[in-house]
Amino acid sequence: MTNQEHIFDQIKNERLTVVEKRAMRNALLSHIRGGAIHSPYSIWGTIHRRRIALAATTIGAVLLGGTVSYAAESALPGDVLYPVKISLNERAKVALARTEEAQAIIQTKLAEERLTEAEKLAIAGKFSEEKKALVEEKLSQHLDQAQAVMAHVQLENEELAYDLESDLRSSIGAHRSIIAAIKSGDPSDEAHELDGVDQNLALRFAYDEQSDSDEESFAVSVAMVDSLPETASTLMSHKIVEEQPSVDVSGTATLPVAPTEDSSEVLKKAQDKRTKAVQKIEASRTTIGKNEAGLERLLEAEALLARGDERVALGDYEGARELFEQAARRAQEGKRVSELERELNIKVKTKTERSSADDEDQESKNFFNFGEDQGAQVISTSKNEDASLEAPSSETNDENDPKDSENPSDDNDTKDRNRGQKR
Amino acid sequence: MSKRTTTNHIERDFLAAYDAHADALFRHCLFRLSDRERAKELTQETFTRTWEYMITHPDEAVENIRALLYRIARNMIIDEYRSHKRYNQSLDALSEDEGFDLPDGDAHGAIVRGAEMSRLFTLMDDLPNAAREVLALRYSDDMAVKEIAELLGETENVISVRIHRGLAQLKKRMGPHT
Repeated sequence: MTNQEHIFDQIKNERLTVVEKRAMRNALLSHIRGGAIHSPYSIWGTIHRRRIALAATTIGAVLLGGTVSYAAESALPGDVLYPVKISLNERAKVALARTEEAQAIIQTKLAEERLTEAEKLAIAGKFSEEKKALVEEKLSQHLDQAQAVMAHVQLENEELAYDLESDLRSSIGAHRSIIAAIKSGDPSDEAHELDGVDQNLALRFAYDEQSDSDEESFAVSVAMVDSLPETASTLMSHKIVEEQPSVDVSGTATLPVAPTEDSSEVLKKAQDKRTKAVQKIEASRTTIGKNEAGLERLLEAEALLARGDERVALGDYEGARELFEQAARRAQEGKRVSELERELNIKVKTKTERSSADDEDQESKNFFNFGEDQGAQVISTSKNEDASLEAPSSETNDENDPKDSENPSDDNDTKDRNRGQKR
Repeated sequence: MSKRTTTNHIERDFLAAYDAHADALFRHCLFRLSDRERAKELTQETFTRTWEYMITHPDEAVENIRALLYRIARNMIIDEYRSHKRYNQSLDALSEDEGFDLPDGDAHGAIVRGAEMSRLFTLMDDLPNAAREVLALRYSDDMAVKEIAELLGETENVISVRIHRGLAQLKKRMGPHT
C-alpha cells in the first residue's frame, strides 16, 4: 500500500464502543416496539432550541454510558453525587448542544451553576478553600468556552453574539449582587472566599468606559426615580409599550442634524435596540413579580429607556443606542437577581435601604467595576436564626472582624468553630 | 403468517443487520463528517429509516441490506453537507476536547488516536465530497471497486479513476516528505 493508503489504517480502528453500540441498539428497539422514548440521536435535525427537554437530557446521558441521576442535579462540591452531576448530567447537556448558540448558552448556564454552588456553600458555611479552587477552575473553563464560542459566532452574526454576551454579563452582574449580599451579611471565612471569585469576575468583565457612563446615567436616573410613582402596584401596571416618545423619532426637520446615510443607519440601530430593550423589560417583568431587587433594576431599566428617548430627540443616536443596550441588560439583570434571590432564599438590599448604610458598604463598592449595585446587605437568610445578623450593618463590626485577621490556611475545624460562635 | 409473526421476522433481520453493520456504518459517517457525535447521530438515524423502509415494504426481502444502509446514510450525509458544511468545521475546532474522549477509559490510546484522527480529518476536509466518499467506501468500509460502482450507480472505471485522483490529491496535501 502507498503512504496515502496507510493513513486509512487509523480509521479502521474507530468503532462504536461496546456501551455505545448497546445503547444505540436499545434505543432502536424502543423505537421499533413503539415506545414513547425517542433518543436525541434520532432528532438530530431539530435540536436547535434553547430549552433542552429533560427527557432528551436523560436519554442522552443514558446513551453516553450511564444512568443519569436526578438526585445529582442538586449536588454541591463535596457531595458524593457531585462527580455524577459534572461528568454525566452536564456532559450530556453539553453533548446535546448542537449549534454554536446552544453551546454558548449551555456554557453560560454551567458557569452560573458553579457560581450558584459557591453561593449555596458560602451561605451554609461550607465554602472551604479547596472547594473554592474546584469551583474557580470549572468556572474559568466554562466562561472561557462561552466567550470563545461567542467570538466565533460574532464572525457570522454580530447581533446574536451581542445578545449572548449581553445575557452573560447580566447574569454575572446578578451573581455579583448576590455575592455582595452574602459577604456583607456574613463575614466568615467562607463568605470571604467569595471575594476571590468576585474579583476574578470583575477582572474578566471590566469595562472602564461602561462604568463611567453607568455612573452618569445613575445620577440622573435617581432623580427620575424620585419623580416617578414608587408603589409596586403602579410599577406593575406601568406599561412601557404604550408610552410614545414625545418627539417623533423618525427623523424630521426639527432635528438639528440633517439625516445622512450614516446617521439614519445609526438611528435604525438605536430603534432596534429600543425594541429589544422593551421586549426584555416586559419579559423580565413577569418573572420579577413583586421581588424588590428585581423591581428596582426594572425601574432603572425604564429610566435608562427614557433617557435613551431623550437622546434620540437630541439627535445623539449613538448615545441613545448605548442607553437602550444598558436598559436591556439592566432588565435582564433584574430578572436574574429575582430568580437567584428565590433560589438561594437571600435578599439583596435595595438602594433606598442602602442610602442609610454605613462606611462598610463603601469598601465593598470598590469591588464593583460595573458601576451598578453599590454593595448590599443580607436582611435574612433561611439558614440563619440568630437575631444578631438581622440587625443593620453597624453590628457586624463586632468580634468577627473577617478580612484581615483570619488566616486562610486555617483548618476546617477552626472555621467551623468560628461559625459555631456566630450562630 | 400473522402480522405479528411477520413483524418479528423483520425485527430479527433488522437487528441482525444492526449487529453486523453498525460499526462499519458509524466509521463511514465518521470518515465523511469528522465529528464523532454527529457520526453517531447519523448512524442511528440511518438505522431508524432503514427500519421504516423494511416495515413499509414487508414483502420485499431486502437482498442487500448493506447497500440500503449505505444509500440512506449517503443521502443524509449529502443533506448534512448542504446545510451544515461551515457549522461542522467550526464545531470541530471547538469540540476537540470532547470529540475523542471515549467513555471506555482508554485515555492514552484515546489521545494518540485523537491526534492522528485530527490529522486525517484535516487532510480529508479539503477533498471534494465525491473523492472523500469513494476513499471512505474503499478504505474504511473495505468495499471492492465493483461494490462501490453498484452502490453509487457508476461504472467501475469511473470509480477507479475517482479513487486514484483522490489518492493523488491526498498525496499532494500530505507534503513532499511522505
